[in-house]
Amino acid sequence: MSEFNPNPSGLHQILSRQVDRRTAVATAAGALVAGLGLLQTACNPLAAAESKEKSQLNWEAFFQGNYRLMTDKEKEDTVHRLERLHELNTGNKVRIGSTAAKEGVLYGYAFNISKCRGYMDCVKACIGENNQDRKSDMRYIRIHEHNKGQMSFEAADDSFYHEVPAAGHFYIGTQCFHCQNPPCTQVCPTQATWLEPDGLVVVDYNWCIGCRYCIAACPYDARRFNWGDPQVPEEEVNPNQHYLGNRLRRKGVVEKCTFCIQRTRDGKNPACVEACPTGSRTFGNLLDPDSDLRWILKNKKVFRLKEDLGTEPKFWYYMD
Amino acid sequence: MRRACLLVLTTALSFSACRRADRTHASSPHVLETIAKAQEPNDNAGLSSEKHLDGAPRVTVTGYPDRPAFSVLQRTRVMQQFPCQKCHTKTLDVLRAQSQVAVAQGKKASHWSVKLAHAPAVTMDCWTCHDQRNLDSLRTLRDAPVSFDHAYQVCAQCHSRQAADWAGGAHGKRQGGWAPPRVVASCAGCHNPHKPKLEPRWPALAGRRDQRFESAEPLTESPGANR
Repeated sequence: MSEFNPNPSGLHQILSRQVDRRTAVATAAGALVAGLGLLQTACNPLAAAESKEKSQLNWEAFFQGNYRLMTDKEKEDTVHRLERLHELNTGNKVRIGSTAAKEGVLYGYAFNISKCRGYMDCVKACIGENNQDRKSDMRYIRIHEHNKGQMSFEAADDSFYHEVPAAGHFYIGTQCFHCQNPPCTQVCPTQATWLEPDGLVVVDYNWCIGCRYCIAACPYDARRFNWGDPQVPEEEVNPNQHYLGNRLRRKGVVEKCTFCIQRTRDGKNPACVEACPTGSRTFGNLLDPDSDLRWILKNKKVFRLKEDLGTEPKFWYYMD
Repeated sequence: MRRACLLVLTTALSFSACRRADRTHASSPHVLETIAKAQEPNDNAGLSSEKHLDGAPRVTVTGYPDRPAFSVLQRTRVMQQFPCQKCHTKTLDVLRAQSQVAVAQGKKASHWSVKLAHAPAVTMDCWTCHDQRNLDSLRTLRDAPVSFDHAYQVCAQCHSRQAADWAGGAHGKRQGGWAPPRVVASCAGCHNPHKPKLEPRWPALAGRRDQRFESAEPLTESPGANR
């Protein structure tokens, strides 16, 4: 094609026309969709309408913009499209929210290491709430079993399975700390992850290209990658979802704890807080001087992990 | 050609890196400073836990003037055998005599399932907290009546440190959600007052080792996965 032809034919002219990549992809994909649509209509006229709609929705999803740049209307259209696609694919309805951050709210978390007993009810609740991949047994929360007298995470046991609390041990839970100066968002080449105004670090799964820079950048090992197609049995899917939260993910994207954005932006506690039978977990608004969280920060001896890195995690540990 | 591409790419990347670094540092002061500045009453953007509380009956907690008003779930509405007068129609002496006869016949004594495992016997018995003269009420150490709804006042006499943490928000379970109104479980919402210590048990799931390097291959199921 690079050879210069002084007398091009008509076909050759069309073929060697200068086309930018976007137009080329759009034309090719359009032709493909139209072709498939025609073929399916010819074969099965009844299923054709749904199939055509699905193709159309998938097509729109392919060119979906970055969530942060969308208008409220575009956000609404986007979540409706995802809801409809789920319905077309599974026959079940889900509700995907796009509730925005509210002014005067900055979310934070406190964890009482004197109270945690390693029951793991939080982890179980988190998996169910956030539609995490059952196949790879993905978990956002880890409970580390430490020998008393040291706090080395290298020496801690994350895979314990025995009656708890075990004598001579104590327990610390870790998850995404929603840093106010998050290193993970700064390395993202597609700006698919960012800090929301209410302090939640979120991921747009449609814009994540799976490079996993963020996983490398996170000093707390808080992010997870979908190596395979995430699998959640249809009857176990939590239908109360958020675009930036627990909506179903796909292969090759990074995900993480969102402090249950689908619940917390509605005034609820995250699933882990609600499930904990010991009261170790406290969630709330850091900007409300009357919140439980602020009382803990003011009255307890609190600490954060790797505070010296300057990541400003909004997740404090304390003791009775 | 390739070199030009590389140059363009590097330039673009470095520009975008600069832009982002600026944005990050400008918008994120130390979070402790942000918190310190927030001293005014905050309406939490109008969010409420009310709809998550399902209209649960509650009573306002008294005795903690330093904390904004909060409530506990009302206990007398959910206690199965309350009011105690339903069964306690005779005096305790009569009932005890009846109970002794019943036990001699091989039947179970009333309240047979309650075994006090709270404090040593020299410190407390049933009547440290229950009121012998009015079984529908609890009592303080100095014999003042306390409603079952405000049982936390009885507990707080000895467990004052836990009670202060509970009133503050560092002990206990919030009900509904994080947003106001603040409704918390009372002491007996989590602890059995006759046997308050939480028992050891098996975890809900088995722990997992490092997940970062897991492959997409099917994994052997952890033994606790179905618990």
